[in-house]
Amino acid sequence: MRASLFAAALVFVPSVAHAQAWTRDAGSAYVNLSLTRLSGDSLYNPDFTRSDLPTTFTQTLINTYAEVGVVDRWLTVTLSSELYRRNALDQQGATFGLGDTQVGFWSGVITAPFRLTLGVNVGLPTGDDTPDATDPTDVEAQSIARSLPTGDGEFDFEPAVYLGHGFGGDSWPLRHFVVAKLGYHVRTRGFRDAVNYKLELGTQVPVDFLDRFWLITRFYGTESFASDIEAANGATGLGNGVTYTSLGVELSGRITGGLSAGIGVDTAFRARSIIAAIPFRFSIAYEL
Amino acid sequence: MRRTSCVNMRAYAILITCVALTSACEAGFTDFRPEGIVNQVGSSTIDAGFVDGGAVEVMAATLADGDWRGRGSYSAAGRVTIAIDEQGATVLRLSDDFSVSGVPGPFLVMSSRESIGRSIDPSMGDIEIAGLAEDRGAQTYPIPVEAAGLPYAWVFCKPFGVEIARAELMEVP
Repeated sequence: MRASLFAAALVFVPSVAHAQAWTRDAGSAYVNLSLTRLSGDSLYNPDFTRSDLPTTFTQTLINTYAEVGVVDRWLTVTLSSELYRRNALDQQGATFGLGDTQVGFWSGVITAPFRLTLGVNVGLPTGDDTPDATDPTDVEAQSIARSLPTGDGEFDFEPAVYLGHGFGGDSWPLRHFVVAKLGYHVRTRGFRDAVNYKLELGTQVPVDFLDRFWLITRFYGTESFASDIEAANGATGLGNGVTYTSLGVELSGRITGGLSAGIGVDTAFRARSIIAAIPFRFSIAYEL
Repeated sequence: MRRTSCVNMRAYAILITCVALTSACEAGFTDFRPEGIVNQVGSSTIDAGFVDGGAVEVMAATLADGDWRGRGSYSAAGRVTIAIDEQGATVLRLSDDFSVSGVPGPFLVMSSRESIGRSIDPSMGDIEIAGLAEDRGAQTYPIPVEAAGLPYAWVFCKPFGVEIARAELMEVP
């Protein structure tokens, strides 16, 4: 009875949790396209204080995420790429273009009674860490362009471990999944390493129509080992020393068949070397 | 089995195509500055009259100097010197041991203000000198004569409006 409850709960784990703790069987695939936008007029300084900006910073991201099962349980490959990143400082300038890309390889070491997945993300510097102005001899325009990179300019890799578990139903009126992640981000080009972490709780009401939706809350962040001085070289979240602790909430809903959509919002309550703003995210996904 | 194989091949093709397309791409740039504003620092072209009084021997001289100090959590070290060089030009010199936090868009500014705040303001006595070429080491920048008497030199992150470092200048007797 207990095993069947676990099995039933796992069936209802949404695609948002896959390739995090739940790996895919061979031939199964998932693709997600998201639009994220944030706009703010203050900055988290390298010492975690906040300062006002003289102007408004706006960032727009179009990101794609895909995962493919290659070998049942033992190998799921993921791809995440910022297809379009636009950074703008009001009345100054904007840069735009392809952002950075990550390729991941994941293996389900334990599948019952809980999920333990190990793997690695490899970061590829497909963005531009030194954008040029239209006229690079224009000193001010060039300084604006160089302050708005679309990539971090460095290869990196992150071995990570995910734990996952689905539960609920029967005597409990709700279904849940929980995912925990811990990763060590090995960086290059003088960037200090970092630790990445996440704790995520999904909740579903197992009633007709409502069971199309998952409400997901997450606590996550990255903790760089850079000193305050080392963290002073950027403000757009791509520089050395970026650190944040955030809370997020997302509502994901199945539309029909394998098609789903989601909407989410996050907020950092402790950060450095990033813009202080609330990102809003809209996504659409399809599962084969 | 064949369907699974086809799905795998399609999935691999998608992944490989995506990776191939994501080779490094240069970012584009859009200028939002109001039209007509072009950086003209160091390029003044004011015509003036001239009376030839004969050759004058120019003596290089140090007018003022000071130590750099980082603002807030930023770091700075070394000295700044305001001087007349051998050609009679007024210059700002950074010492060999000059260093400052590597921020985006740093500019050298001379000012009468103890604090610049969020932006460089000429009406408040700020004179923008030049973009900082390197965040460390000896450098020399020509400055307008009127900047030579100002009491503060700044390194200022112009795009994000952040004070990075300041040097209080003392006259050299």
